[in-house]
Amino acid sequence: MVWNNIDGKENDIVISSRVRLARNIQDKVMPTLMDKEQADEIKNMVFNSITKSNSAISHQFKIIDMDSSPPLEKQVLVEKHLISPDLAKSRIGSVILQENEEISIMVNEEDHIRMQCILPGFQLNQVWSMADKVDDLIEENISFSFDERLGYLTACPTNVGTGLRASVMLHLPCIVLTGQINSLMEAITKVGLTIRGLYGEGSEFVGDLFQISNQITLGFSEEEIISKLHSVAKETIKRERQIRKYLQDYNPLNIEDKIYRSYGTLKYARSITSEECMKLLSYVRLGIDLGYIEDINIKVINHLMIHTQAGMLQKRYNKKMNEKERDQVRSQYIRESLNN
Amino acid sequence: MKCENCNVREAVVHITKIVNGEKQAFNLCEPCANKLEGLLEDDHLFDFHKFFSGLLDSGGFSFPSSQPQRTYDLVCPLCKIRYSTFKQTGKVGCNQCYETFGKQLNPLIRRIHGSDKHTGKIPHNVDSKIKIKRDLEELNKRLKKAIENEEYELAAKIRDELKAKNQEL
Repeated sequence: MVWNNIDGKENDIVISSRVRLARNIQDKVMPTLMDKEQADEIKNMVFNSITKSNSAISHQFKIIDMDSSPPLEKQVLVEKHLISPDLAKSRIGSVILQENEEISIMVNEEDHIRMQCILPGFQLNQVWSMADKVDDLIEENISFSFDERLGYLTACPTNVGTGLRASVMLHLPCIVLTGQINSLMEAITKVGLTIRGLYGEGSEFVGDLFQISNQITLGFSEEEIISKLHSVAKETIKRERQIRKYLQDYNPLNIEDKIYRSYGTLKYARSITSEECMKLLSYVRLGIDLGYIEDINIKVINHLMIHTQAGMLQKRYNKKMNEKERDQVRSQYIRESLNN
Repeated sequence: MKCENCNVREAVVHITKIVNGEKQAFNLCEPCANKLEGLLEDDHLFDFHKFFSGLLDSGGFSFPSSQPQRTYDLVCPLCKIRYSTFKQTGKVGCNQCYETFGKQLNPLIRRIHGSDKHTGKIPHNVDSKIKIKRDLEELNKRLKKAIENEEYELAAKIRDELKAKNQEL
């Protein structure tokens, strides 16, 4: 596929692409007003619409109910961005999850149905076409709330129309390093998109990861929304690359030092907080892209960025740990991954 | 001064909040203020839904009307939620709410999205008239463009298509 070739190149900066569609079922009350019985009815309708279809993916899904899932399992799903924190808190919500975790369908969150498709790298068109197909599949058996003028009707008027939220997660260490992130954020907000830092608690952007997404869902077609996000992401990638080149040309020692210090710390530390971990992983990721670090695959770093989070670690080691224990285990897991 | 939240302890924290130019002052004791801070961290106070339902309150989306607003008494016949509930939560109770509260919601939607006309995907099983209407709009746009570009042969072709489509309605 042509798209794959073009987008594949950006995998060093684009971590993932995601599309979410919000849908509701005609004449059924919204999840906020539902009891468990009504919620189950919706859940079964959605699940059956997929499993009983003739689609090739129909048997790849399982249901996870929020009220019967252990908190740790739910935390892991949140950390993997497969469900929202709100769904994890819900007592009537469920997620219908594909085995490979590319498609996840939240049921009875804010809307009856929120289907999400996520793929690694810059693959916005692919995730949209995946979501479009899942939407068609569910629609074969379910009548969605739809209004000629307002489009798909959602629980919150901020999502009406296409019900589409498309986003890309970008790794922008050099834009941050050179203090240009605020002007980038301003520029992106001005063109009607939203950008926010990821994983950070407080005001610091941890790991230099940023998510750009559309805010407006009505008045533009899905293709127009995707294409706008695509071009803005592309500009941002270009800018990050220019700065990387500039830093390498004019002050290579500084950047090289930062990269190797980070690599050294990750390789030998005996205790590390999640914030420090993300910061250092970010520089190592940059180091791989700039060719300083050759013995580590970028996929290992992507994996660590997700799998060193609190919930994921506790699941891996299969026990509940306090912060201090987690920091220790985190450093151990990183050492093992980097030395393999 | 007593804390406005618990009415027990002395107020030591004074917060001034300015929302849409309206000043609001809170006088709280330390434990209550801490609770408030916790909420802030949790993002609850700056919840987007509440933020925009605040727009409804302030009349920010339309000119403050001179006629008394009776919208508070509106109740959706399908899900039974009141307009005042929607204002608090920012969420409707069902698809019918968009019709019931249409008069209040439409200006808000225009304000949020800058448009109130869906131009994206249409469900396959939707009334076929909607689809035909959409096709007509598209053809009209193309016709206009063809005329602007002085491509009269193309324009004539599109006009024929328009005629045929119109008959489908």
